[in-house]
Amino acid sequence: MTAERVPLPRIEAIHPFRGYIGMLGVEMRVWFPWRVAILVLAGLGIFATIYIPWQIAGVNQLGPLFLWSMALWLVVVLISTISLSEGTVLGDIDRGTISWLVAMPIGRPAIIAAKAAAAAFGVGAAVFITGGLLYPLYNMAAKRGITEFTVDELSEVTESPIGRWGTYISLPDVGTYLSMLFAIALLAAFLVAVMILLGSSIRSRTAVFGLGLAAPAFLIAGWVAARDALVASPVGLVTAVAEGVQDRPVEVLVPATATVALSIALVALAIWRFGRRELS
Amino acid sequence: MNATIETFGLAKRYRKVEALKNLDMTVPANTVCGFLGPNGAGKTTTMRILMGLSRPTTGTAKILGSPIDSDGLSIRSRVGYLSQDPSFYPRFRVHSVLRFAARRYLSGSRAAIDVRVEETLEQIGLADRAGRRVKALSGGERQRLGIGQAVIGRPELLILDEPSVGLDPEGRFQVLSLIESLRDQATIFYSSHILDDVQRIADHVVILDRGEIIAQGPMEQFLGSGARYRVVIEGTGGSAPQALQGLPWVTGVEGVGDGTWEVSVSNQETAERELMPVLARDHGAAIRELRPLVRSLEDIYVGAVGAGEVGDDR
Amino acid sequence: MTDYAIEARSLSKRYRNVHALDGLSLDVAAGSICGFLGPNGAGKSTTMKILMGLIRPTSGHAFVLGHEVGKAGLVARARIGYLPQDPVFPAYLTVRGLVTYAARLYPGHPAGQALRRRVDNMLEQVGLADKARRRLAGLSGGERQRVGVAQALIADPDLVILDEPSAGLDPVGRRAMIDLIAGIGGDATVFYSTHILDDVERVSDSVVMLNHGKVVAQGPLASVLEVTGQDYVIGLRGDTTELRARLTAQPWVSTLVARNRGSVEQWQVQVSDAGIAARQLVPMLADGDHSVLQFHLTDRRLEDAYLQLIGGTDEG
Repeated sequence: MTAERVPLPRIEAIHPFRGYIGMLGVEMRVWFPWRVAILVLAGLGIFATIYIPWQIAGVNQLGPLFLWSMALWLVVVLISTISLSEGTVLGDIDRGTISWLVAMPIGRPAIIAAKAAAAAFGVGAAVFITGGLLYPLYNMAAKRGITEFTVDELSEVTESPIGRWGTYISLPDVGTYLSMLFAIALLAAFLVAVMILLGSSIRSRTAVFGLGLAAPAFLIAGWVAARDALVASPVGLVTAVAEGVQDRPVEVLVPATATVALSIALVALAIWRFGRRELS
Repeated sequence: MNATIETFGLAKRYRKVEALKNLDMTVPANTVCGFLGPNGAGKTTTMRILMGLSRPTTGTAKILGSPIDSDGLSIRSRVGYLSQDPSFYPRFRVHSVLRFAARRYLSGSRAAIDVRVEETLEQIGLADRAGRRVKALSGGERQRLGIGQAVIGRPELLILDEPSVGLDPEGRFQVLSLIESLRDQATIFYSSHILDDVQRIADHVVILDRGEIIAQGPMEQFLGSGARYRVVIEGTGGSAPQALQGLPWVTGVEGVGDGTWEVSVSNQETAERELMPVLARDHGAAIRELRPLVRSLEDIYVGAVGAGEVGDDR
Repeated sequence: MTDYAIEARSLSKRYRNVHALDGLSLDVAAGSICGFLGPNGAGKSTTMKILMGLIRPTSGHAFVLGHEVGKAGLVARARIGYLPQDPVFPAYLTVRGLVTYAARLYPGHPAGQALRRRVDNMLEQVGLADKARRRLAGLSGGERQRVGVAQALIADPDLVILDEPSAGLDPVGRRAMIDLIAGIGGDATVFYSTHILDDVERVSDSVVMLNHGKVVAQGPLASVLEVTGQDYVIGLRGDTTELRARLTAQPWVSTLVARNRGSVEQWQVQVSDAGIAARQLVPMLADGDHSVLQFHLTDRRLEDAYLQLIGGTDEG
């Protein structure tokens, strides 16, 4: 049986990103479906935070809750992304599978790039899936008339600064909503890049997680304090989400480009750090 | 001489610890080379450096003629590696792991790759566990999977870090048989603590201790075969075989028991050619044993490395 | 009293559907060193745990030092030292602390100065005297193994049960462990399990082989070794084609397996008639252009006996 068969030829192309496609396949298998499922469930859980009180509290009290739910969803997405990606690089290192991969003819850059791409795609997909599921649910809630009300009513219900924005809050239209989802997905992808860089440079997973949490903290702080100055940065994406929630025009292009560029730079840095890393 | 692995002054320092000091090692092509040394001697460190997992502090190495610092990827496409206590993605199934590994080295259609995977599964004896997930495998099975992913790409060199550790005797026998079967296809560089096994199958030996090579060379050189022979002949009574007396290349005949003699020779080549015919002429079928006396690799090793305490692992 | 340090009669242990032990019967003579062999999962650790009273058999009886395990086991365990596989000791104890603690667990232990001296002596014997104050968490695998041996021997037991004492040790460490075992034997009985058969050959008086929860073979080392047949080993250099053809043509030659080691050819020849082979082989070998480097019967090795006996009882 074996004597006549010609053995398969060896792969000849040798370049630093060799094995990227294969690694991408492995990483996607690892990311889907668990992590996507978790992110989607988190989003649906957020919706439950308006649906249940709505059932209990009554119509008018719910106005600001759409806002809160989107804000909450954004924060939950960011933190879940951090939590789910802290092990992207270090999990493999801890388990020892990284050594297995690197000892094969797979370029180290391919490993990092594939992890970044798979994770970014994973969170992005999760955001759009969740957002897509939520839109009709929000619409359903909106038809019950809970999301239109005046500034005064808002201030009555809550003393937050939200009351000073706009004249009323309603559900954004599809275009705006999609732009918001895009912004959230990009923010999550940006965080993935941050986590990949941290995982490639530091040994402790708890440190990576802790430092990773600093990223959304900085983003929120930047949005609160200097959103106009930081338009061409991920903070601009946070602004985009905030504007969209208030049914105001969403400026996504500039911050998106800046964020993508920054994320790629972070991944490049991660590739450099990982390239020098000692592996046991 | 063709060398598959060559190191030049390879050294590795971790903060204050010198794990490897100025290693000049040569592993000849098409040999089975045993890499021996106490725990902590630096064997795993050496193998990791050769596989690009770790970078040497100073020095260089060449594998299959190419330098490891510049040609790492190309080298690794021709080398199979098994680390100590190998790990794979726990939820992957055995055939997935092998398929993934095969695709790193070989190009071909899905069907062709699957055939190669089947071949390898047979070779490592996991054909009936192909659908199992990695986390459900026993230690020995995981080890065999590790060997599978190392050989599936038809490498020219195999670097195996303690391939038979933790295996029961059957498992060890299977691993060793596998290594023996690969003898003609690849150079095999492996570390082991079971010196009797190494003595049986290795052609070349490198002994490492505390980061330094304390001995390296062909197995024959280590065992010092050819200088003395044990001869057992039935029915000669107490007198030494007449045939051996007065031969210029026989320097001594010592009786060590009933019909048993130890014969020392000065010329190994002549002894190999002549000893049997000379004895056969006079004693023919009464010859029960003719055997070159070799030292035991374990004795040599313990002598070189130094006797230690119970459980010593430096 | 009894001549046997360990006796097991039809021991069985069932976990749900799995028979870890299935009618196991064995004897270990007092003062002997007995190697306990078998594949992973055969039931060696289970057997040892039953002997030590850690788990109860589903059926059957076991006796250690003449006392029935379980009922009178406690009395016997005062005279037994045990080292489990992968021992876990409290990480915060020091080496001396653990060995002392172990000593105190045995009734009739010395106290005060005498105890201290005995512990120091033990640590000396296992080569941990300079690490006496080290905490267990900071020890390497081999050093932990040594601590394990020390706590097993500290009460000067009559029976020592060691579960894979050489696992993870390098050749030097293994040799030291063998020497230690050899030193204990005679005064005490040593019952130990291992996968390194060559070590067993060096130091054991008898062996017990286990597979699938049953004893496959037991007895003095020499008689177990006799299970293997013996082939002829012939080492040759030079042109051997003609000789090979002649040999394989002989009716009394069953198989001829050839291996190349460099320029040396090593043949293993299985014969169907030992008598004829003994008479005709040498004259055939002596005749020709080749050189004969070696000629002898295969050495009886425990590994071959093991593979034959264990392999024979595998269900495929």
